[in-house]
This record gives sequence, C-alpha cells and structure tokens, in this order.
Amino acid sequence: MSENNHGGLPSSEIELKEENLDELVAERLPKIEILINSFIENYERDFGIKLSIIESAGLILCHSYYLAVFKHIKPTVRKRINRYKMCSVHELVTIKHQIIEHSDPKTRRKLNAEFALYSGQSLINSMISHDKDDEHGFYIDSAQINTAVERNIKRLLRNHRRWLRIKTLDDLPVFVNAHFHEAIGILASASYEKI
Amino acid sequence: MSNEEAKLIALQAINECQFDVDVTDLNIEETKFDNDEVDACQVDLFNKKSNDLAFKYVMSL
Repeated sequence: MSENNHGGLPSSEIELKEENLDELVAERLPKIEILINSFIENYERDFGIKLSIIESAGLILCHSYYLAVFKHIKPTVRKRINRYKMCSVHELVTIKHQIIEHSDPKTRRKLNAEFALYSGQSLINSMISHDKDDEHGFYIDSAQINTAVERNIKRLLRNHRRWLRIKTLDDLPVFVNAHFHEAIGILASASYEKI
Repeated sequence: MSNEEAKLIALQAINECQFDVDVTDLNIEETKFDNDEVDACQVDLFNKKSNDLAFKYVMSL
C-alpha cells in the first residue's frame, strides 16, 4: 500500500469522489511520470531517438483519466472499475491528447499508439500477482505460455495498435475497448493451461 | 503549467469526446488472473519493471 499522504489522508482512504480529484491526481502523478519517463528512456536506448512530449503531459493525462472516470465511467457501472476498464481509459485519453510530439503527423500517431498500448499493458501487468516461478515474465509473454496462443495474441494486439493509430481522437469507446483487453487477458490466462 | 491550467485542458478535451455506455454484464468465469483483483492503490502501479516489460513486448509486436 502506498505510504504517500495527501491532504492529511493516506492514499487508500481518499474517497473516490470527483471533489477529491486534486488529491487523486497528486497521488497518481508520480506514477504517470515514471511511466512516461520509462518510455522515453527505453526508446532512446533502443532506437537512439530522444522523444519530446507536450508540456505537463503527466498532469493532463492524470486529470483527463479521473475526469473521464468520474463523468462517464463510474455513473454507468454497478461494480468497481477493474484493471481492464482502467487500461481502456488510459489508452484512450492518451490517444486523445497525443502527448508525444513529432513534426510528422503520421509518425506522431504511430508513437502515441505505441505509448498508449504500452501504458495499458504496463497497468494490467502491474495489477497482477505473478507466480514465483514466473516472476520475471510478462503476463502475456511468459515462458509458460502456449506459443500458438501467444502468436495469436500478438496478432490481435498488432491490429489493436493499428486501430489506435487511425481511430478518431474524440471517440472514446471505453467499455468496448475494455472488453477487448479483458478478452486478451482471458486468452492469456487460458493459455497457461496445458493442452 | 499550473494544476488548474492542466485541469482546464483536460476538462475541455473530455467534453469534446463521445463515450460509449456499459450495457453488458460479462459474468466471465474466473481466470488465472482473477484471484488477485486489487485496488490500484494497493499495488505499485506502473512500476519500472512492468514498464520495461511492457515496452519490450509492445515494441516486439
């Protein structure tokens, strides 16, 4: 559990209400900044290119995430917002803001599609407890996973990344997108079973 | 940029967007990953290890 305090409250005791938006943003912002910086560092290491981002990208993403959740997601769901819906909102608000800059519009869409997919996948992975014998694995890219299933999951996610590149920025089909990620999670989970 | 300026940009962006609505109840059988359903505040969300693994995976697609 987080040790941070905001407004005198431990993070776990901040009520999930819109009026607590600033506290929630303050809690989440350092994590989003690590997410962004990790992408930039990995990209520079692997491709030799230093990416630039819009001003206050992390702050804007955090506010957008919680505004979308409070105004549009929470009012329509009976249960808690699970990891797949969280992933979906993160992906789609990232695409909306196009936080990674590039002079070529097509390249900018490509980079932001990669960043959005990376964000959602990291979120899901960080919310799953990994088996002790698989603690270094990624939830859909494990040594234990069935290779035929893994191949098809990769194909689905390649198509999903393509959709993130070309989708209309203002359309946020959060629930349909969450169902897609849940289906991928189910497929990945099932693939651990021996055939 | 101040927190209030960022919030205004976010609010304007979210107001420009069209959202879908949840009309399904998937009621899916429990999977391998469901026995550890946790609150986001209870995990090290976006930890560096997950970020690095996700980057490697997404770039390998």
